[in-house]
Amino acid sequence: MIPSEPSKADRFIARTFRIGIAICSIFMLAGFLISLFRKGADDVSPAALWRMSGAQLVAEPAAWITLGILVLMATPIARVAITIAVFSRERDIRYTFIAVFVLLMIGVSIVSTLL
Amino acid sequence: MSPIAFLTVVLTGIVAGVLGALFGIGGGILLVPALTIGFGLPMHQAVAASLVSVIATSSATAAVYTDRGLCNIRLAMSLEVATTMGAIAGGYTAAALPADTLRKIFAVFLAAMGFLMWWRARNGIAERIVEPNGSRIRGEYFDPAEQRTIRYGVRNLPGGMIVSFFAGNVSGLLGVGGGVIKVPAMTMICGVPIKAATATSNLMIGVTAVASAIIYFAQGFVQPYYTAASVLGVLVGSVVGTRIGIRIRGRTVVLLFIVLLFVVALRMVIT
Repeated sequence: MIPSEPSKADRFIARTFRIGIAICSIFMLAGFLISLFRKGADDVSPAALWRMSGAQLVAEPAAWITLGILVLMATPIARVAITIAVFSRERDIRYTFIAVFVLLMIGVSIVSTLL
Repeated sequence: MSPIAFLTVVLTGIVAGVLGALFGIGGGILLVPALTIGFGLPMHQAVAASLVSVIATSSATAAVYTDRGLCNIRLAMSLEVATTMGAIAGGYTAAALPADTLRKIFAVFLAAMGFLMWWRARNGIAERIVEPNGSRIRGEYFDPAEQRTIRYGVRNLPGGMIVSFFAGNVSGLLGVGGGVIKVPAMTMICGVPIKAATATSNLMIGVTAVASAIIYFAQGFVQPYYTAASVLGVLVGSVVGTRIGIRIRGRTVVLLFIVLLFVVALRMVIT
């Protein structure tokens, strides 16, 4: 019996997870290492991150860590986006709609925090 | 946060990750009490740190399961409709609750997990695999232990969605993955084999946790240093725990762990 092989989509999703985890870990470790040499802020919000210059960002350990957390949070969202692309390519309208709905729920969560 | 404190949280995360993987309950359940009781972190910040750690571990394990073709993406997407709604509701409920109340709810959840583990050790989970014919959602995977491809269908999706809403709600409220609720539900209600249910649950945990983590982030509960230390620790711990590859089945060890869960639950109530 030949084992059933994971599809191209499965492999792509797995790779997305691995890349997300790797980038997040690098950012978090970088933040920790910088904090050994430079005392920074206790906390950097995502909004403050946008306002920081490149030089400020590089020197601020909490900014690196917050970036790592944001990359980590973006990883499962990217997986949903990939799933939408896969389903729509397969012309599976039902599951394209379901996946879009899940992405919309994430959007609702983001928008609700801005109100 | 001092470097020593950071490394101590990393070590705590490793222990929580290893034990969570070995006992099949996830690292978040042990991380929240460790951060609150051990490090004095406010309850909401501990839940937020655990929630972000849960995204990391689920992404790492989902990568392995997806590569092996074990995850049922259509089933995951269908149930995620319910888990994300539950998680958003859970996130806002947690934000509105005082820390003391949230801690007591967590203690009740820990005790419930103790009972669930005791019940599982006693009765196990009965697998009743559904024939794929006639099911709208189907799946298959190669089982190396049985040396054959397992094909299955999914029954009673609405039932699975109701339980998934509850699992998402618990995840958003308490910062846990909710796999302990979803895996038995997918197996016993939807007829999905345990291996596929475990893999699919892992895939779902990340997006579910993100839905409520956004709320915790906006409320200012995500403390970067504690969160990063927890993520790095639990990530290493869960990988090590999974590599060890054995689910502890010795009755005495499981019973001791259940007692530990009850003691921690009691300590959280008293605190």
